[in-house]
Amino acid sequence: MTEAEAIRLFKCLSDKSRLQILKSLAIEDMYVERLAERLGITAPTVSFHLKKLADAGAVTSYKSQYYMMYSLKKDIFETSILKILQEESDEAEVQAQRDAEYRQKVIDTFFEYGKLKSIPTQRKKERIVLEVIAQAFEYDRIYTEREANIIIADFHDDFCTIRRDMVGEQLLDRDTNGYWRVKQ
Amino acid sequence: MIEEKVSKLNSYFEEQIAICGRRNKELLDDERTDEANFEKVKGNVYDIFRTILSVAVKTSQGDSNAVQHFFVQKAQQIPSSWVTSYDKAKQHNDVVKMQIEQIKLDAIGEIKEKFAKIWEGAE
Repeated sequence: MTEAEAIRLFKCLSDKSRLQILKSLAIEDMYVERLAERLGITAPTVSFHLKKLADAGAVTSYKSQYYMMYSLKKDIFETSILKILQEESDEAEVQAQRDAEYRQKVIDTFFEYGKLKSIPTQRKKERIVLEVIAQAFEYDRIYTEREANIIIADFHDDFCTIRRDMVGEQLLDRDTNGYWRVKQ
Repeated sequence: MIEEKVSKLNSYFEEQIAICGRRNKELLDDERTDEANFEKVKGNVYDIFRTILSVAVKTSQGDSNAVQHFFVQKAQQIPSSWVTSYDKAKQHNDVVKMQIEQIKLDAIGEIKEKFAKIWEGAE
């Protein structure tokens, strides 16, 4: 378990309702309404907590007849806290993790359900956003301007600015035949 | 007459805000931070509409119909973005966001009902 994963898990566990959900799931797998009844909280609140627990890797779900059943991810809880503490944190790895977290934060801020909300004004942030959009382009394929615009328009209406900036950032290159994704 | 209705509504808002504040504190003391935050969200909705009521009263110069029109209009306008946000979250199965938007929508539903009752003199 990486440091970031451990922090996410511990943060998630520091909530009484979530801890009680886990205690219930330690007895047996359960569905949302059953947990809500046991714990005296509403079903939407249970779903909310389950989502957080699932994101932290603490629970998993599977479909059983009409119900979505939730179960404890036992392997996570079998890891000893001492083992987590003894894990060395390589500085380069920590830095890479920080970068990845920053990148994710920018993506979460500027994208909503896969759509770009606005074009960042800071170059560093715009670069990250453009890199995400570039992933929609395949390598070794030439796109006409129209095709490139259609792909970018899936993210944001201002496809002209984005296309131009992607070329400027050397994420895309162009000649008279069209545009292609640059291998980084 | 209008003063009495406004006073009743203000008392209602103050009471709800106080309840949410109390629940928020209780839940925080019970280490239920997210649920405590839900109460804060709910309290904010009551606070927003308490402010809207005071603006409605100020701008309507004692005209009961104008107050009602202003308040009801805002009670429809403001939550429309919450509905959009809820629908979008539902579409993407984002239960965390759905829960927050649902809390706001439930609170505004209650407010609208209370306003109608008090303004029509049923309370």
